[in-house]
Amino acid sequence: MNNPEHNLTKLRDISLNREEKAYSRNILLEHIAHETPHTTGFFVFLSSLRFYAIPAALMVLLAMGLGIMGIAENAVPGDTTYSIKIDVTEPLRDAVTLSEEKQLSWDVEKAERRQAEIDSLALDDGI
Amino acid sequence: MQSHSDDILLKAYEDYADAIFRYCFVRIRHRELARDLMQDTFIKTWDYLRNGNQVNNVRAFLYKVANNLIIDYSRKKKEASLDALMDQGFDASGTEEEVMATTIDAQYVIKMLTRLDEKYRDVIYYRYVDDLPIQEIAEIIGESDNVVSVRLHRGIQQLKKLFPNEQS
Repeated sequence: MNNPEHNLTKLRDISLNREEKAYSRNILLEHIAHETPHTTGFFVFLSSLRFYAIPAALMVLLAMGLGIMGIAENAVPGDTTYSIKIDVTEPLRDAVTLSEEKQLSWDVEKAERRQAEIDSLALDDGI
Repeated sequence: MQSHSDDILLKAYEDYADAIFRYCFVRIRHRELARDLMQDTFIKTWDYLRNGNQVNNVRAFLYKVANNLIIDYSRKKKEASLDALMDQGFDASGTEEEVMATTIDAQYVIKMLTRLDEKYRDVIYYRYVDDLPIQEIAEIIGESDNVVSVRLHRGIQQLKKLFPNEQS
């Protein structure tokens, strides 16, 4: 009896042996490991830093600002940072000086600063 | 840490590695190359899943990928066509153990299959060797269920004509 359908089932015996199957599985696992982005160790650490990037940047800017303001305190007319002293630092101090007594004291200090600046310029000019 | 696509792919490997290897081996009749093509089939499938693509039927997808890889391999074979490979018989570069591991019966059945028209050969293989349902065969070859049924019937008729003296 001609029965090719039955004969075709004999091909089902063709298969990988245990070593071949394990070897190919390892090839596949290596490919997966190689192509998967790193999720451990140093790369996790670097990745976690992104949460702190903005606060860190703000702190750096604040520190830079405070540093510049500190330098500006000793500026005299003509210095690059003098405008920061007159337009930023001193108005800021005006804003935070709440009591009348402290405001009066600050006004006196400002007048003394102006005098000190004039004296400093006079010294420089040899007057 | 394994992702969802890793799990799908590794399970598919355990379930279908033999079937895909067998499919490649019957088509190209070179054991080592068939193993390579089977590996590439799973690697390409993982790459496809990893890129965010969805696969509804993994088995059907694997057969489609394997078929494309076999076609690419055949095109690259400039010196020997598939027909020439059929005439030469089994790959002589395999070890004696590997060649002998393929039984005489299996060799003869493969010879039977390779004599079939190409459009009947694949559907006959999927149905009678790998026992795939007609709907899945239709998905693999990109045809309707009716076309698959007709090709199965005609393919069996052609086998009976080619091998009239074949015994069960």
